[in-house]
Amino acid sequence: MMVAGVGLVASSMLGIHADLPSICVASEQLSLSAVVASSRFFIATNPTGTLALAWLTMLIAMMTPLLALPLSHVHASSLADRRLRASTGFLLGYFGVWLFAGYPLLAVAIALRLLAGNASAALMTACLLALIWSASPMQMAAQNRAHRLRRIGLFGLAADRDCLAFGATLGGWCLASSWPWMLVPLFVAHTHLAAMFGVAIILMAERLRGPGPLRWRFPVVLSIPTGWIRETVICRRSSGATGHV
Amino acid sequence: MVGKREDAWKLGAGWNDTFLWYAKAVIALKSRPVTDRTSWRYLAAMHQFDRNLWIGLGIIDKKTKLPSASDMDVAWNQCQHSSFYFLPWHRGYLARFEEIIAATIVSLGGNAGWKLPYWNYLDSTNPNARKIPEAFLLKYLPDGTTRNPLEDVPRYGQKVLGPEPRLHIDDIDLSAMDEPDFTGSVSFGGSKTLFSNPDIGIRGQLENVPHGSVHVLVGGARPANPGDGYLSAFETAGLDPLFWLHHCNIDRLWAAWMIKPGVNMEAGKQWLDGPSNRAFAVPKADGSGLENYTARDTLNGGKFYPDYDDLHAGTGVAAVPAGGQAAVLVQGPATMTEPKVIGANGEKITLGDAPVETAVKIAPQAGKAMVTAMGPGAPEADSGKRTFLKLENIRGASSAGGLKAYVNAPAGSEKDLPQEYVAGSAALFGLGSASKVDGQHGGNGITLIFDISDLARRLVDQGNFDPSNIRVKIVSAHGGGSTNPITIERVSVLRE
Repeated sequence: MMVAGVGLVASSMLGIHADLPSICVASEQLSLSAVVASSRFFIATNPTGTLALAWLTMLIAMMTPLLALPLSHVHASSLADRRLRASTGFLLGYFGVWLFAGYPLLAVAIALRLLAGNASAALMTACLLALIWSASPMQMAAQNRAHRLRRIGLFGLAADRDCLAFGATLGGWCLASSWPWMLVPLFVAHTHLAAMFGVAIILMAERLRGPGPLRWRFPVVLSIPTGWIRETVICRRSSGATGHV
Repeated sequence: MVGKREDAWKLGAGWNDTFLWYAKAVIALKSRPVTDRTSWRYLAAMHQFDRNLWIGLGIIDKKTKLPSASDMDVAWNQCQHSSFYFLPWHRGYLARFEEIIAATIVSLGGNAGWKLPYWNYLDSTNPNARKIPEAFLLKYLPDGTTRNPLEDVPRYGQKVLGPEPRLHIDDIDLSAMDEPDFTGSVSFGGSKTLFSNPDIGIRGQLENVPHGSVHVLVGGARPANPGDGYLSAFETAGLDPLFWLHHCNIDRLWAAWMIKPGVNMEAGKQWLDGPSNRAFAVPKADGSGLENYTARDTLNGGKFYPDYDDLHAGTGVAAVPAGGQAAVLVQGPATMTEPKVIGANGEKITLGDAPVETAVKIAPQAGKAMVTAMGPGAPEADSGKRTFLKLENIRGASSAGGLKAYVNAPAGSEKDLPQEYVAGSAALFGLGSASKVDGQHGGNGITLIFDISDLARRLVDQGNFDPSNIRVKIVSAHGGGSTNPITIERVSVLRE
């Protein structure tokens, strides 16, 4: 959580997010040529390195809390004096996949903005898309695979390769599981950090829901409030507990 | 509630009152639709449910109306395995089952206060202890015409518990009771996990033996038996009336372990009030709704805390002598430091019918320290440290099977591997379910830890222990055979 916090702070300090979503939040109707022009201006005024750093800090802020269990697997599976190296390899693999996913995600965001007509409609469409995806068996399949553990070698380059591969595989399934939610903050300009924080909580809740059979189900983000109402209003949790041992 | 849970073998032979009423109640529960929260099938599905499997087995058909999705999301598919929630979840599950059976017996004209008996298979003072109680083997009720529901269930395994060499499963024992800590990767109760162990989970020693062994020994597994019985799979175990007596004894072993001097009980909030990601749920005794519970509810003072007639016979826990002081239960962090990995093999293992040997290499410095610590001049602090062999993420499609691992067994003994080189054996109860990627348990299979401290010490004494090349031989018998083998992600050595 501390790492995520640092990521959030770094993310806000870089100030790139006010620019990053600006493509998608202009209030007037955008034509394809306007988007291309905006994109060119955006890339020209934001060097690739800065853009990548901004995207990376956003990812660190949002994704790190999801990595506690996989990281503990890497940690427990490695020799005591290689744990830092193993965790670094894992994180490189994980965030490497996400880093490269930044451009296609941006392209999807621009396409969505074009189709929606205005920024508010694009935000609504992104939220709707994310909700439908969250309810779908496809998302469940990706999420199930994001729980899968694999061997971590103990020695030499084989160990590094395993950590990198585990991180990349997990990153790929996390991306497949949560990509529509990652679009949402891109359409929010003034409360971008709050949107990131909210999405991070949703992604955490989806991971905590755990794996399950493939079928359509109630999206986690909607089941949180309904579950809370059920637990606190309808049936009191552990009503008969009076103590222990 | 009145009365105590008693030893099934002390209730009287054959059709004693307790079993006769149990059988009548099971018939009543079986007649209820699966949408009824007090029905036999609803209660079994709380453990684990697989629609296609149940249709295939004729438990339901394609047209059978199932409970609402929200009901199933809350109450079905809850079984906790390879987790420190294994014991408390099953305790609440048993308690409510018992209440439902008792209420049904009253509705059928029987007496109130029926209690679930336990199958005390490790009671060395009872020559019948290892036999399945007689009422579960009789074809008919005393009227001679009504089919006995306690027997009318697929069981392909043993009727008298013992080792099963065809499945490579050793005899059951009470060694789990010697584990001092409730929680941990090497523990009595299992490792710390979330609900249903979707990620990293390791069976507690009690969950491995006798729990898992009895499931598979009685249910049976291919290729040793003609089929995998209901007791051998998560999805069907609760449909066998014997399941409840077996788990009642497992629960009693937990209760007995708690009064053993020197044990260290879990006290963390994540365990007491968890799981945080999904709550345990049971139907209300009258089926009118569902209610949640936590591990705290299963401890002394909680609504699901059980009462047993005897916590000593068949538990290995000695009774306190007259005038003696009962042990005070300690709650806090584990006494044993979490063991660290010091060695591993080089590649994933694929295991069919034939034994597979893999070389485990221990890191040079750790290997040297380990051998020194086992030598005669070792510092006292090091000599008592334990060594473990870990088989990580055993996955397979078969619902069950068995597995055994040997360390540095002599070459040329493939057909009859000597028992003195055994690191450990396990029944692979629920293997298929635990390995299913699109299932409740995340598809990470089963992870086993065997204590090889004594074996390693013996091998060091014999000069048969090269830390850079430990030969681990694994044999397995499972329904997949060589065409659909099981896999083991990694074999590693851990040391305290």
